[in-house]
Amino acid sequence: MATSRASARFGGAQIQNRLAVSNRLAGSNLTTRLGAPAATSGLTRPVSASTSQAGPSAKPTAVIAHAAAAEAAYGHELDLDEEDATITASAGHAPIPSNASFDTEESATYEDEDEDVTIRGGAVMKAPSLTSVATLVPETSVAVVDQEQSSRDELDHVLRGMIEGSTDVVMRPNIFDGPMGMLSGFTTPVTGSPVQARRASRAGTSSASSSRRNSFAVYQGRDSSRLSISSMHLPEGERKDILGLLPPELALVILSQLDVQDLCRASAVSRTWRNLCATPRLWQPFCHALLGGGMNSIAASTTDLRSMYCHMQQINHQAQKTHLRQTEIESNMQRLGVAASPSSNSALRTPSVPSAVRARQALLPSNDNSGASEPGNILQQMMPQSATTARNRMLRRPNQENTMITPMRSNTLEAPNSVTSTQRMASRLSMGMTPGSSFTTPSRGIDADDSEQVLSVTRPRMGQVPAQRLFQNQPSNVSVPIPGFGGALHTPGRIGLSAQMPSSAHRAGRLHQEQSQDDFLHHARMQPTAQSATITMESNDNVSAASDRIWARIRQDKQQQEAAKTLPEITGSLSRPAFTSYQPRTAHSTNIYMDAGVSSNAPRSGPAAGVGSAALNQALHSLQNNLANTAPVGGATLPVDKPVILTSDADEPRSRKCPVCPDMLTRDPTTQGVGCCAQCNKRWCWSCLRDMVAHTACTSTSYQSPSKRLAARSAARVNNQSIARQLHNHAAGENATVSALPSPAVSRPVRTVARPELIGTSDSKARLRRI
Amino acid sequence: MSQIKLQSSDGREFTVDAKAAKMSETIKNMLEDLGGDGENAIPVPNVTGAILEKVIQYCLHHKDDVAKPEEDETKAKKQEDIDSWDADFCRVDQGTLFEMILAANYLDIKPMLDLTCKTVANMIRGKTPDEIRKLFNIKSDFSPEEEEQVKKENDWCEEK
Repeated sequence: MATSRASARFGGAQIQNRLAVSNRLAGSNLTTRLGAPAATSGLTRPVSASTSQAGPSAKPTAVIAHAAAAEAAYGHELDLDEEDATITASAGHAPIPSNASFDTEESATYEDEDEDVTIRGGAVMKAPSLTSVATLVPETSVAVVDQEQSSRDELDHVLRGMIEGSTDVVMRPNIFDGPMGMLSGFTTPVTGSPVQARRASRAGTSSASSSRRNSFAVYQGRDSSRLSISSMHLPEGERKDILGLLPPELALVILSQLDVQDLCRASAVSRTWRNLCATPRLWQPFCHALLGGGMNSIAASTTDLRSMYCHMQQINHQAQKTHLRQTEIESNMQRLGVAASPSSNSALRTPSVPSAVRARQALLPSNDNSGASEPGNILQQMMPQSATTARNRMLRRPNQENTMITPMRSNTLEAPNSVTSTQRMASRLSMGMTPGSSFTTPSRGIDADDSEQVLSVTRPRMGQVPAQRLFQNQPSNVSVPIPGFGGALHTPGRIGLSAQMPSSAHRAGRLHQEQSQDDFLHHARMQPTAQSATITMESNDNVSAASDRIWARIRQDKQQQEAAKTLPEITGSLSRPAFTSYQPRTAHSTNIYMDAGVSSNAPRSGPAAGVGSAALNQALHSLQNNLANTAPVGGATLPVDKPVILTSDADEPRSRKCPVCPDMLTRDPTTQGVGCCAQCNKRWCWSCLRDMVAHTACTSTSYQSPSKRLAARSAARVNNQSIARQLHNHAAGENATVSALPSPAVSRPVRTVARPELIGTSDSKARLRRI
Repeated sequence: MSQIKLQSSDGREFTVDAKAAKMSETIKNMLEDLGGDGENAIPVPNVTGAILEKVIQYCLHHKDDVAKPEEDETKAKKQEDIDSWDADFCRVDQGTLFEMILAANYLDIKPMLDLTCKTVANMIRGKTPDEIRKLFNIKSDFSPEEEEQVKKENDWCEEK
């Protein structure tokens, strides 16, 4: 067992410095407190350390010394088992008169492994005059710090050289031959990650020249501040706002190295930084990752990509939080075994005011003018402060207003990942909330509930999962926020009212409808972002289909440009968007959000809106056209059943082979259940891979792994749709005013997914109830 | 013409290996334009001697580097790894680092500019706004309302 002697000389008067020595071999942790009388502890071996009082002002100092097999000449020795020893010296907890801000612990860890020695020290020194050196010297010597002014410059120079790599990091013993320690006034401590330090030591830049036995690296600082040598330890005077002082183009080079989170943080530093960070170019890659092909249309409508991105992430974040909460609630529910149906019925009956209205009122801004900023200020338009608060209010509402029993019934509830919404629905149903019992309640409650079940779309955070994978998790049945579109579409001078009202609003009855419209308008004008923060989960799948098409349309920049040139009126003649390659569904909700916000802003901005407004208008037109295309003139629409979509699983294959040619199928973004083959130019059912010609519905999961989960999901889907159908029938019966309802038979091309018998039963059940 | 002379803004003269000096596009162009004869020092008016010394140090060390292929630019961009020599090289105070960035930009030494910018980016990385302010000695000039808004805006990335 080799014996090493380390001698430590302390240049500060800090007698309270602690030197903690842990000797792993000995299996004991030893702490030596160096007091005025040099402390010796209960080490099995003699430990002696001394302090030398050198300067008039006390400086906390951490000194680690390690000498390999050589006796130090200083007379202070620390005998240790050398093989596997850890020496920790920490200093700085002591009250230091000259230095009030010295607040962090300064510690250095010394590890001796076979060949490499790393010293880690966390030292944050805030006072300009503070001096901290953690140096270790092989063979003999010691790092010494003191305050002697005479040698200050010299040492500073040496240390700077050391830091800059021009000097050996290792101090030779003779450096310390002066009367006192010579390392003083050193203001540029060394920082680096252990890894780097280690690597550096391997590379030999700082290896001990006199001893090959150990190579040393000096490390000091926080783990997070990689390579940030100097910076944290510089005196105030030497710190400068590099980013702010650099020419913007250079600052951008720096910022472009950062990821989203750091960018966001950086933009919270100061105004200068914020402006720098708002540069669209920085955000483009992130937005692109988030939105995929939708990026172009976004870029056309806004320049403030940063706010947009942050806002989308905010929505995500909140939705995720809600999802978590809801999951918790539901698990509680299940644990308690509470039957949901009676309470949900009562909850539905309770509101005297249609709860949809209340929900919207909750969204209304406290300050009516907050959203109405000048046209050019997109940031303001996009992110009115009150929108955030309104959203927060909205988020809180479920907790305040809803019983634990009925989380899903909440009008203001943003529910989670809509991937699971059908499952959740199914689970609720299985818990006793049968369609009949939960939905044949008085009409107002139902309508409110029906039209206002608010869902947010959850996306996993970016940057952690590859984008492609993220997209797979996206909901397949995102719907258009009805209030938002209502508000946008019914802005005076835009489009006729009745043609575009979603069917649920019609079902809701006149009074409710008018109320809602006013509210819609008001809300949409004032709260574009809050509005867009929610996506209404409309039981009527037609809206979903509409949103599909809108989304597809939005992506087509060309068509959008054309739309921008056309007059505000709806032509209704735009053809259905051509098939484009599969786009991640993620962007779906986001884009709807964008355009919902945009469109509600556009009319208000009016002609004064300028260029920015033109882009907004463009998006609006595109939306209008799409809605006009989608909704039958009769007003009411019928559910368009979509094929069972099993897209939500991360493990689902992204693409499938075309049954005919070797090419791969691409998913049709407008109708998810369809795969298109670029080569044979045919459309195939995504589920069963049969030709889509004369293929109406497919519940086949045979292509999928026949897992129970998938089956459950399709069942949930079926349930969901039967509920939707039932609701529809119910509303049609209740609201005689909506006479234009066509019979289900004349609905738009329907690919029925639901098993006929199930639909039949639920329909008849509903009818029975009505009678 | 293996050696050329460079003159810093404060009049110091450096004799540099031509290959190293030509890492700087600016100097390279100057040499081509002037047809430098090796006798007259090339003035580098925007760079002080201390910084020019650093620059030369860098160029000498990297003069034999093969140019990085452009394709992995995006990858390299995000890379936090810095060669140990480079890391040591950048262990300077903020003022020097700042000057080095400017010099690298002026002299058009792309790898050095990348390195220095990366160093600054690494300083920023992983820090909270407060820490960044402390690090760069910045005073927050946001009004309380703005501060609040910024905070809200960043909610999503601060908490998980």
